[in-house]
Amino acid sequence: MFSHLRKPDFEHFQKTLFNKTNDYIPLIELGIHPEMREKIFGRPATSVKDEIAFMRGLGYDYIKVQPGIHIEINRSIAKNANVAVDRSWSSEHDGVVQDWESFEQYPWATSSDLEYSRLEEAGKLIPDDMGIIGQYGDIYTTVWEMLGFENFSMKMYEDPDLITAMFAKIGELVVSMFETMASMDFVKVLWYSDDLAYSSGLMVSPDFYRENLFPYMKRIGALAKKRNIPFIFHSDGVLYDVMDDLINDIGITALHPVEPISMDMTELKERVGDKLCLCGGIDVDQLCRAEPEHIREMTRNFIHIAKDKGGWCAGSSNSIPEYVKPENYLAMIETVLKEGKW
Amino acid sequence: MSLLESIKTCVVQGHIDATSKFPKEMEGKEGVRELTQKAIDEGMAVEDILTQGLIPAMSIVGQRYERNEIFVPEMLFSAKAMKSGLELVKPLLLEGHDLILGKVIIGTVQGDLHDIGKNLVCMMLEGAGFEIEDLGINVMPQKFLYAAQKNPNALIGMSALLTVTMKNMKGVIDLLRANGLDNKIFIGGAPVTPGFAEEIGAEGYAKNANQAVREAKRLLGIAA
Repeated sequence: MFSHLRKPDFEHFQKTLFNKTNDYIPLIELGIHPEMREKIFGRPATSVKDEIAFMRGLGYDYIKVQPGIHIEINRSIAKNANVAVDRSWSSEHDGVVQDWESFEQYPWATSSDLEYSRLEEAGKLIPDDMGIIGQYGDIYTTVWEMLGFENFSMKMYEDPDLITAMFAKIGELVVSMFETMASMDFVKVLWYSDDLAYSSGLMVSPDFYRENLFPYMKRIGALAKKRNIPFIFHSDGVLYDVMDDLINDIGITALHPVEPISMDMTELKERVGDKLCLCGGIDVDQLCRAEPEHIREMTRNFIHIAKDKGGWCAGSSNSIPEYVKPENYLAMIETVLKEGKW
Repeated sequence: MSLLESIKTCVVQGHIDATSKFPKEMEGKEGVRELTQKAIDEGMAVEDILTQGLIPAMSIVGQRYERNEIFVPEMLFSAKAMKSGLELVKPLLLEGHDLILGKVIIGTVQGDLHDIGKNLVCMMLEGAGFEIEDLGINVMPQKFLYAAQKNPNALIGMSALLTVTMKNMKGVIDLLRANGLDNKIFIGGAPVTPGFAEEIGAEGYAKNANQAVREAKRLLGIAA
């Protein structure tokens, strides 16, 4: 572990997420798979106390906590030949909601089904030099997963009222989570995640997002603005067509994860680097397949980009799944901690 | 507007038939299904319906998708519209005619259940005039092998969404080559890159469904 290399400084992390000049490059991840945590930590890191020790030990300034909820979607299980992990996948055809009848019958969760005990525990245990990110997401993703993507695509045009109603159900629920998280003083960053794009472009039109999703995201952005805390947005893919909406209307302060296959970090920095902190960027594919020295070199290149203008939190271009090589993940972190400062 | 032009326009617009609500401005009007039937009833050559109506329309759809003028939902409507016409035309095509550009065997590799992208590729390839054998999702290497043995001239297309499942593409290629099969392979999917394709010995790579059509034509030596 790397606690000897850097002590947490949450205020410095916040400052970076606001895209202000910083002294060094902080670390960030949306998710680190439990198996990876166990490989590095030596035992499962599931309790809040262990989570704090794990993240602190690796050089992170924060822990990220979600409210507890379960929304059922139509999932299948696939055995993978390469890893001893069963994955669940959402159906891309038929979901749990098919029409108004199944919409009416569906046991929708309400804000009273949400629970915040882990957040409250984290608020009590978090050390002064670390902070808590309140994170949730997937308003758009949950809607299409509940319908199945093909059905969702058809209903967009054949029954737009059903789509609006589903966005309202999920959107209000997720916004209520953020309202509660924003009311907790110890939550000092909000992070909304929802995959809106492929590597070649948006999944659906910008106007669809503007009409159905962005009003909810805007309400979350307003919560962050009112508290004067950073607001991170995560989405895979190419987001240039909605970048103005994200920055100017919704009010994000940081963008994650900047997949290299979708958006080039240098170009993105040129285009929006004066307005946004960029987070992530280190290719997960390379973290899986390359050698540690290559990862160190890649990380150095990113540090070089950030050294000119700052505004970068270092991390993977998505998350750390269990199939990333642990030595590569650690090589990325160690390089940032040792060389990402000025 | 000629009948063939109308068919083409309806495919481009994604208007399946008179009951279809998409696009809104064409609701209640004849769509690809009715217009294709009308063309057949009028004695129009099925080859003309295909080559001057349906196929060029899907080419326009692919270009519009690549330019981000339309998105997956609109492309799905166009593909469904195309299919509604194709279903009427296909039974009338003579056995052994030369309108089929080639055969493509396609599947999402073992361990991976994602298929929106793969299905779009199938639709676009079919729309361009290829014959498709869709092996589905979570396809075992042996299933690719069996299909390739039966179709030694077919192209093999593989899709994967995750780094961990795309590794299984190499296993399929190795298995095919070990069995003396030299079917050309092209791959795609979110984490897949041209470099990865080269590394595992795939002859082609496509970033999206329209590129897949171009790549399939290139691999089979067909003029774009």
